[in-house]
Amino acid sequence: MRTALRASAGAAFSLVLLIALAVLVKDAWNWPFAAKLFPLVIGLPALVLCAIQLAGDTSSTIAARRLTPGIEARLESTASRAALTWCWIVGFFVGIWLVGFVVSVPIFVTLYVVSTARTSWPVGFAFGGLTSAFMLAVFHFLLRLHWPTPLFSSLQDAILGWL
Amino acid sequence: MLESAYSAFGMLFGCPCALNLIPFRLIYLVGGVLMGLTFGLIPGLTGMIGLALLLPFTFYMDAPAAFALMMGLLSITATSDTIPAVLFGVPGSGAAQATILDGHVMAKRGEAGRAFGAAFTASMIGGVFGGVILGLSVPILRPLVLAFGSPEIFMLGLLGIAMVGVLSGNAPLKGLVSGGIGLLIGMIGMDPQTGHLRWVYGETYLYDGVSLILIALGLFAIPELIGIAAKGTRIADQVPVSGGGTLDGVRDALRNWFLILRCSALGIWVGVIPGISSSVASWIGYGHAMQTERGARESFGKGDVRGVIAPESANNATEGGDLIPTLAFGVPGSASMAMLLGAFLIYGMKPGPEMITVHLDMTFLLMWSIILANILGTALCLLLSKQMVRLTRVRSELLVAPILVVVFLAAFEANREIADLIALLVLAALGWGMKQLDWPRAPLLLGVVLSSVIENYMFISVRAMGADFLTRPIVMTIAALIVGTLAYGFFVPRNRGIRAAEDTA
Repeated sequence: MRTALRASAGAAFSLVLLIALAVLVKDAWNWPFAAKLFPLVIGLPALVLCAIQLAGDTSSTIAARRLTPGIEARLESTASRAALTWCWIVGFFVGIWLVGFVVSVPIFVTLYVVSTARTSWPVGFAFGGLTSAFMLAVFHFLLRLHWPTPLFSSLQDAILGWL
Repeated sequence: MLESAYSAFGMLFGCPCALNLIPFRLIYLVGGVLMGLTFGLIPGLTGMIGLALLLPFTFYMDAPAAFALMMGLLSITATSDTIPAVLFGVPGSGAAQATILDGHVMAKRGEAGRAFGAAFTASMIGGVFGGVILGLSVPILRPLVLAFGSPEIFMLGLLGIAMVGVLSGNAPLKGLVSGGIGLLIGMIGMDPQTGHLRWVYGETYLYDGVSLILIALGLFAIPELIGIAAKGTRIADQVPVSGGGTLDGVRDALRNWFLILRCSALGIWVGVIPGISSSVASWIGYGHAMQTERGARESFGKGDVRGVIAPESANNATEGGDLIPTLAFGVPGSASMAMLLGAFLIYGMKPGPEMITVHLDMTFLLMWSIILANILGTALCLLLSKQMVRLTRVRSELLVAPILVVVFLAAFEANREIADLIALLVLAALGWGMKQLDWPRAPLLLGVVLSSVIENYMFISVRAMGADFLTRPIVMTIAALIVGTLAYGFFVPRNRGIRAAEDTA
């Protein structure tokens, strides 16, 4: 069943895609003929189809607002769990950017397992340790990966130096 | 032709001609099978996600080993997904949905072992049949493929996008826009024809375009992981006793060999059509058995073993069918085949005529991989099904973090820049939005993979013939097929069962 929340999100998503397509087509307009031919052959029909989709989504949003019996609460609960997972993912990225893979992987895995799966700390540490061991065995020793330099690199450098 | 088939078999086993019998490529195949079995067992983790995770690491291997590994994984997920479907009524992937109807009833009756025996045997015969048909189709397709020039291949690329866009999911308009966006993303970077930089906005990172690995991981892997984390439950709290009778199930399957062959043929046919997933094949197999088997209308849904055999043979056979248009025409029928096509391009192999001439041995290697993976996977399932059940009891939250780490590392492998991770997050947001709002993601991936191929063939066609290439008979035939596909998608109401299957696939 389509809810008002879902229908509004659908219309908003279509609008974002429409704007992105419009920007791409506008940029391509001034390119040399050979470079812009294929982008315009694909981009213009995609733009038109996306506009039709947006029109459809907008009308279904209005209809859903009239008909929805109010199951938004359940949807919002799932959405809030998904949003929390997104926070973890973005947090993991920020950790990699700040202190590097080698440091952030065990911290991320341990904290995630303990807080989300509600396991005990020893189990969390075991997961974090095993994941880090797998990462180092495969990527550091086997594939000889050149790790990205984080903003604060001293701890990662110390660990890699020790290894 | 036979020499190529034999040579491909030798490639898989090392090189028997030189008496070097160390089957190192076979070890990769076995590794792929084990990964495929694991991914099939856990709902939400499909073979395609496994392929997306594997792809960056295959660059270090020689091509036959890499493709043996990937085919081992892809061929077998439709076998192990039966285990949670039969025991708990939860399909490991969309392809096992139809199996639930009778398989789960059998498990409740204490006949899980019999259901497993029948399902695994049917899966193996279906998968092997699909691989054999792939090999047999080469001499039939050869003259047809070699008759195709640049204009025809250009039009086939468009047909592939149109079919996948219109037929995958249940919103043809969204599918077409998704395919269009994929084609545009595939054009980011330096235009190979003119050297013009397209949509790079001063970022040197974008000069070489957006990596296929990032697109696959962002569009599919992260959204699925978020879905698993949001559900936050294990598959089942209590594992029912699986019961004996596995050999009875094997006998049931062998007794119904003709049903298996018919459903396998249907599965191959479904696989050949771009845009229709293996979940649809299993429903078609189930429906066919219900209509043609004696007494099936009364007994199906009440624990009839034929209701397990039919869908299982159909969904395993699709892999061989899927590969036929992918290899012969460079038109992949599904997201996983689009990724496999991308892998071919990365290894410098261009699907199309080259795959049945220059790289014929690679085509046969894929055939052998499907056949061996199905035999090996079935043997493992028959031997270890009771142990494998334990994997399905692992709490999903425990799996999410380690897999996320592998996703991030795989993404970083794309260009080894921190920008890879930013691109991953942007694409993940796009993929998650599409998943939540029922926008099909397969056409987008297919668009990215086919973008350079289609544009290249369009330019060759225009340069050689101008607009006259549009008047060639085969081009006009394919154009008519595109129009027919679009008309079908927009004006013909689709089967509810198929819709339901695709929604959850």
